[in-house]
Amino acid sequence: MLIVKRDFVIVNIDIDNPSADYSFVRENLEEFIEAVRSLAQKEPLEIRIKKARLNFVRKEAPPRRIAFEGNFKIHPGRSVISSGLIDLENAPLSYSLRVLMTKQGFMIEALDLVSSQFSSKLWGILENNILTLNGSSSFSKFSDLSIYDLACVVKFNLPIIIIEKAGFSLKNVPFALKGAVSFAQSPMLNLKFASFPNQPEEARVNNPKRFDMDIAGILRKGKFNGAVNLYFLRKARRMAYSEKIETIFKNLTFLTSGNGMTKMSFEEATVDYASGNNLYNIFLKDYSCLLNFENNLIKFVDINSGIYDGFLEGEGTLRTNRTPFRASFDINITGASADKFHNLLPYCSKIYGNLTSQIKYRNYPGLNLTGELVIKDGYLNNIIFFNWVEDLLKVPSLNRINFEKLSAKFIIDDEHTSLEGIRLESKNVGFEGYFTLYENDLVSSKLSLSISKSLLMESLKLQRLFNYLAKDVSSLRFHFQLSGFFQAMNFKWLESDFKQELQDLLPRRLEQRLESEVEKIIQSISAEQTLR
Amino acid sequence: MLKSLIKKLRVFCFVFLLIFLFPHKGYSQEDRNLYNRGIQAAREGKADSAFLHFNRLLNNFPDSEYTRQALFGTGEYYFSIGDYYDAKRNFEKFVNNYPESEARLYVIAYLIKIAEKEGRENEIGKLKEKLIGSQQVSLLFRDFKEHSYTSPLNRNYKALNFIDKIEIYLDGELFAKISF
Repeated sequence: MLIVKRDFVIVNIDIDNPSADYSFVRENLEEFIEAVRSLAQKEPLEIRIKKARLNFVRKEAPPRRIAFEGNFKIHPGRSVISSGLIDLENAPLSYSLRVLMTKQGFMIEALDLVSSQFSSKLWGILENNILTLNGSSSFSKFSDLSIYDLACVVKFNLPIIIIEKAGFSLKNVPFALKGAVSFAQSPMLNLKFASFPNQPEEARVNNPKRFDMDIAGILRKGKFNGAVNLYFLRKARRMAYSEKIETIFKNLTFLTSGNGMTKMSFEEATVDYASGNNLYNIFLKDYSCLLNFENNLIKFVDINSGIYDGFLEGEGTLRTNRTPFRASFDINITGASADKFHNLLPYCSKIYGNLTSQIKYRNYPGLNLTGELVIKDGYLNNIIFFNWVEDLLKVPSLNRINFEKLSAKFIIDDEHTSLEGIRLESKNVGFEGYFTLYENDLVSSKLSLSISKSLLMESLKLQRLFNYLAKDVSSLRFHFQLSGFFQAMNFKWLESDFKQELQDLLPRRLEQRLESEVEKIIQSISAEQTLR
Repeated sequence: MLKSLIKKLRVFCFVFLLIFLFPHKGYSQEDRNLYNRGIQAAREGKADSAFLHFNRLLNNFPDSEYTRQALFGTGEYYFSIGDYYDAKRNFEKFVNNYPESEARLYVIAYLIKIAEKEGRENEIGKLKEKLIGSQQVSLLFRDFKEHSYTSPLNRNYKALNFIDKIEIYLDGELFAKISF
């Protein structure tokens, strides 16, 4: 009787190996919290949990599991102190927490998070499903990327979490993040990330540190499908370029292995890169690479990907200790169709054949893309220079030239795009030289064209000429120089023995008539090309 | 008396109509006279006098058919006396209003010279591009294409378009050379 009249107070609860589904916990969470509150009304209550498992069952995807170990000390004054370890599939995160219960939720007096990747110190309040959080974070692999002055407001409308605003400083630059994440059957996210969010637009447009990133997509079977878009200003020597990189991914994944490497892969990606008025497009498929995160350095190791109908492999680095990040890549491309690259190099729209290329890319101190390309067993179709020569000499075959090999070195940077050491090997046509297009659209070029006599004899004009000149040669060589604006190039026939012979033969007025004809041909073809 | 009054009124109306309904005949006569006097003065080596005539033409007859020549002539004169501000103003008007004129490339050359004297580097680059883009040449047997022009101030201009440069000569002396 004496025993039954005593008060029982529970002061310790040890739970070993509990396991539950997330959906069950979510549905009954309020009841759990209420039960714990009622137990801790008079005396502090300590709850120790060991080897707990929270299971996430997902439709059409393998289940995920969170392991947890920790303890909670609940005081009658409604404060809770907790510390422990959360493990999401070999990514352990230790925490310590001190909260004060309120009528509508709780005040986070201190929340410290530590993992191998980052550490955070946070505080805030969660009431009526709205979390207001402040604090700072630092990343172990990227010591320069510490986040300070974090202030965010997050609304929980499960399964949707809305980031109404999240402001912070990163390398003394203010950033803002907002958007929403949905944990429904197919998780979705829609996030916008921007630097200098409060700067007036007129000033922000010219701010070299402005940066915007949009991420929108869904997770299907644990893989991201959607768009990642970057918008920024790139400063070159003479001017700044407004740039954007818009990428649409199909089935993008990141998998961390035990040896510290992360594998990035996707099934397809379409990359649109716009720099000023220039637009470039690349299509990649079955891409995979290993990412090695060393301090302030991300190494892209062993890149393999399909590119259009060919194959790409290479390696590169991204230095994150500078803004903008400094990238350096070495890439090889094999077995691709040359004309598919017309969205990258406009000239390629008229060049057909099997392309192989070695490319070096650097973005510091300025954009620099160099390399070599070789195209085999292809043809040139309707190249403007050959249009001129075809119209002048009346040799129709020059509109389409089959070749065994076309090779050139190329340099692309902020100031110019240049093809050097151009060499065309073909049965009836030989072609060599260089062609440079500057950023202001001015051209500098010297080209040498040799045409076999058999091809030249297609022209009735030239047949008569061969009766007087060049009787014993099997081919004729012409040297040209081009200059001026690309849309209206200047043209000069350079000196050669054949030209000298021809000049000696022709009366002056015929020379002038020919000059005038050539001028009309070139101007009309240029105008036609401009209109296209 | 009344008849006399009506007659006088009719004559007055006729003269009134003559003056105000057909003003252009008198207008074009005056501006042409000014232009011709300016040309004549220039031929006689009187540049100051020529300038005065062209300037009066611009001020009094801004829509005249001789405005183009007057703009060039006054621009030339201002440049020759070192008044680059007024030279630039007139030459810019010329370039904007007469883009098809054969004298345009000489005007652009003047604007380049003015920009060089005033150290406006950004403008020099843009003007050079304008000059380069004003002509497309095809040189089969020639090394250059030549163009000549005699200005309202009776000065002889010559432009030689090479494949990679343009040379402008003024009265036989090299005035500007733009390489590209």
